[in-house]
Amino acid sequence: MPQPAGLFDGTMSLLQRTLNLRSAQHHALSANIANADTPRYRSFEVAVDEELRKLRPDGRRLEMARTQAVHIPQPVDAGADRVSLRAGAVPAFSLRADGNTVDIDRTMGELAENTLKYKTSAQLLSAKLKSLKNVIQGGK
Amino acid sequence: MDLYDALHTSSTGLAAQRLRMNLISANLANVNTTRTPEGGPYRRKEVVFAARSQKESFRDVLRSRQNRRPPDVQTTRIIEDQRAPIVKFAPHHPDADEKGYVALPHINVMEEMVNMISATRSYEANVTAVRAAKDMALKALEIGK
Repeated sequence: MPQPAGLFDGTMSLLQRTLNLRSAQHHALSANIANADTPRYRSFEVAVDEELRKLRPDGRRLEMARTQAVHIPQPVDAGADRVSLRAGAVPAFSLRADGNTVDIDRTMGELAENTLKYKTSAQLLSAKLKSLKNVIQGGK
Repeated sequence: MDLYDALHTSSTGLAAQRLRMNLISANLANVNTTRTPEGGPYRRKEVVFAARSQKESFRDVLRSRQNRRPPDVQTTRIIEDQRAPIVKFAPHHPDADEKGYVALPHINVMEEMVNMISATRSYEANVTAVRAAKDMALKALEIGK
């Protein structure tokens, strides 16, 4: 649904998408940590930054142009919840013989970073809503 | 929601590491056990982990077709160490053979201790992940407050 510019502008949907991606990333990192001792397990992660870069600056996804009125419009949020996973970085040097590629130190660092960024986005979304409320109430 | 799935995944990790820890405790407790229901000395036990995708409902299967799902840990089976027992000369022992040798489990206490530290650290890592998921979910609840 197209939203009025200014009021519910791209920031909201951008933050929403960020929260979705970050929680998916958290799931992937949790799986890597849980499988840190599983033989032949290959680590993977969500390409959060790449996914966010696909969004336009106003937070909406690129849509296909409709040159004919009969063309079926692409739903605005098509694939908005789709999350693509990619293989995690393989440690350059590892003494493990079981074929597991989880780097626990790196993963824990990423987990902390991801949690902080998630909280930041949630905080920003909260602040955005707060300022909207302020405007609605006329600054009272 | 991904955060609930993440919690579930972490809890499978916690359960797996706890089972591993239980087996290490059993190995250490039975370091001198010469008699078992199966006969012979106690055999060192170890758990085998495997990654498993969450596919319980139709929705999960459908989603797993759309994109790969982060897998849980599954404890597939418990294996018994097939190392030959350590033989010790103890003619007074009731389980000694006719030559006076008794078979003791081949358990290296040092090895068990190292595995125990590894299991503890992995358990802690999963706890951290659970805590992070909880923090994130609570922060999300604050949106709009």
